[in-house]
Amino acid sequence: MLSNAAIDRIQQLVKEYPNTKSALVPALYVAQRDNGGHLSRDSMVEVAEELSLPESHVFGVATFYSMFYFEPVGKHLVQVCGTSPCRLRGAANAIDCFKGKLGLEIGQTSEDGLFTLQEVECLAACHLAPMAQINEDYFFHLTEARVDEIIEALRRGEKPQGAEFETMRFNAHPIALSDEELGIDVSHLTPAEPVVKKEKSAEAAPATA
Amino acid sequence: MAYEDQPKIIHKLLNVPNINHIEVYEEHGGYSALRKALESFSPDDVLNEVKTSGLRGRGGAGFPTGLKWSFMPKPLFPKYLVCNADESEPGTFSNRDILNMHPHILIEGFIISCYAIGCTHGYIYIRGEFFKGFETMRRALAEAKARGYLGKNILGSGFDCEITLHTGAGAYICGEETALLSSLEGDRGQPRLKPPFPAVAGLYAKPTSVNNVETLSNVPFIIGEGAAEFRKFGTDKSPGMKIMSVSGHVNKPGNYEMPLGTPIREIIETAGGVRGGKAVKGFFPGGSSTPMLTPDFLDTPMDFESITAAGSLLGTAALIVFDEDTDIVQVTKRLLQFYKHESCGKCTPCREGNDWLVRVLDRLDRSKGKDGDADLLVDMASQIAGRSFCPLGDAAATPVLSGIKRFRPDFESRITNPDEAPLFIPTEQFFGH
Repeated sequence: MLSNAAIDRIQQLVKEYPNTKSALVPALYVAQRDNGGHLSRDSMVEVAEELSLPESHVFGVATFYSMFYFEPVGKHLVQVCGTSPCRLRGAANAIDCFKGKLGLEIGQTSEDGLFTLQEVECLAACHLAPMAQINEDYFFHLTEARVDEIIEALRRGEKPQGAEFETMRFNAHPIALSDEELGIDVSHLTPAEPVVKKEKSAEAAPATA
Repeated sequence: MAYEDQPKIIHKLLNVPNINHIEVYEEHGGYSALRKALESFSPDDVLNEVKTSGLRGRGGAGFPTGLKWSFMPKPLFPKYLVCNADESEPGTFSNRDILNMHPHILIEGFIISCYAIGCTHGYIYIRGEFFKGFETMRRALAEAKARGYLGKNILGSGFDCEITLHTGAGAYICGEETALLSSLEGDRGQPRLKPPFPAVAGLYAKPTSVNNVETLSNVPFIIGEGAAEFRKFGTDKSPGMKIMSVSGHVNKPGNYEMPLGTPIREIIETAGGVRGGKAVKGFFPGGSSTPMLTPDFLDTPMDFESITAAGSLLGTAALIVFDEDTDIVQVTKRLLQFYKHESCGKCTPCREGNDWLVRVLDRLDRSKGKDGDADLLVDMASQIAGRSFCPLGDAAATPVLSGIKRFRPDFESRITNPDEAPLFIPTEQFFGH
């Protein structure tokens, strides 16, 4: 069952679009987070009901994208980039380091449910290769020592040094989180000075909604 | 002049501490271009200034931005501006820095562009994996709204504009503009037939312009400093700066914002030269979807026309450099695994063809190639290129075709065991995937 908080967030997201269908991918992120990191059939059915979409459409969209998971994944989802630009800078070695350290092959989840290891495609950080995304964080320049350090920290339940985020999000996409959860507070800001129109052109401003 | 001291447009403030905060951005002159546009420019003035600047799309195709905007029928509302921040081309990582570190330059450019085309609600489509970029942008949008740069009646000018952040979920194809629009509408991210072009029937079948992050981030400079200042950089036909993403076997891989027309050799030198003092074997000039070139082309100026004349494409100006010890077969094979994975499955040549290319490349990689495999690859790739629904098929064929054209001996040296690998793969294996 989707939690009330998840349903509230989905309804917030729906308001951003002129039709509810556009909110589908964001809603699936909310459902995936709510369901503990993967999408169950039931959670997708609930999303379909929430957005008044056919279940078949929701399954079709969810399975199109690689960031939705249909089986439980580890608490820490380790995704090592293996595309050619990373390969040129030692991605194969980084993948081997993760395999050795975690005792997992690509695609496997550890028995304790802590780690899933995946090889993924270009994550747009080729200059910092070899690199990996672990849950919400990117990690760069992966050597054997660096991989050890990252995995050990995660095993202790800590954020590894150099992580992009301070708090553990367990792979929850920020779109699934409310402003309060993200700590976005702009109450210190006041509106800027208005502009003084200098009439120069006879062209009218565009009609506004 | 050292790279750090050279003039820049987007990267000018990139390394200012806390430039992601609106107060810091404003202290450095941020949002003054928006103010100027709303005070002294009509929407058409902005459009004309961008046209005069000669700004061309930075996402790969290089289409003139002002012209693209002018294709949108004027009297139809609503119109949409969609920012393509689905950066996923292998070797390309320039948008990520803007989203992570310098969000307000994109937001300012976006609002000015909305003003020019008459869009009151725009979308920024960020690739799913960019958690950090998404959150930075979300915070920045909230700041811009609190300061009155977004929302109803912006700065009292009467112009309304809202921006919604949207996210992908891991699909390279969504960088193709019509696939992006399908994805944004809540469908599978598959491309649509053109025409109709998005300018006529795009998002929700309304006139839409899809522009890249870097394209829109150039707009505050063009309006703030003027098109003439912008044209002082680059070449006559490719004006302005371009962020060159340099990766592979160089000493200092990274993003370097340099004038269009800078020779490739100079860009590689700025990136610290080739690692270990080795020679360049080859490079992709504009990401993995652009034809590979050999060192003979190192003096080619990095601009749209010169790279095209050299037989490749500027693409996203993502230079992937390989040194003399690089195995082109492995590079090509891993890229084709990428394209196979990212093919959306809509059309047969791309969906099936990429799988077949990977199979043959894999046996070459294992040095189990069969006589004629290089020609077989060329034959298959030629049937994907130009025969696929969208440019992904062309992109996938490119590393194979250019790799064999430029580095054929690398492929032929792997044909060592003609008997072991059957040309036709047994049917049970074919249906087993």
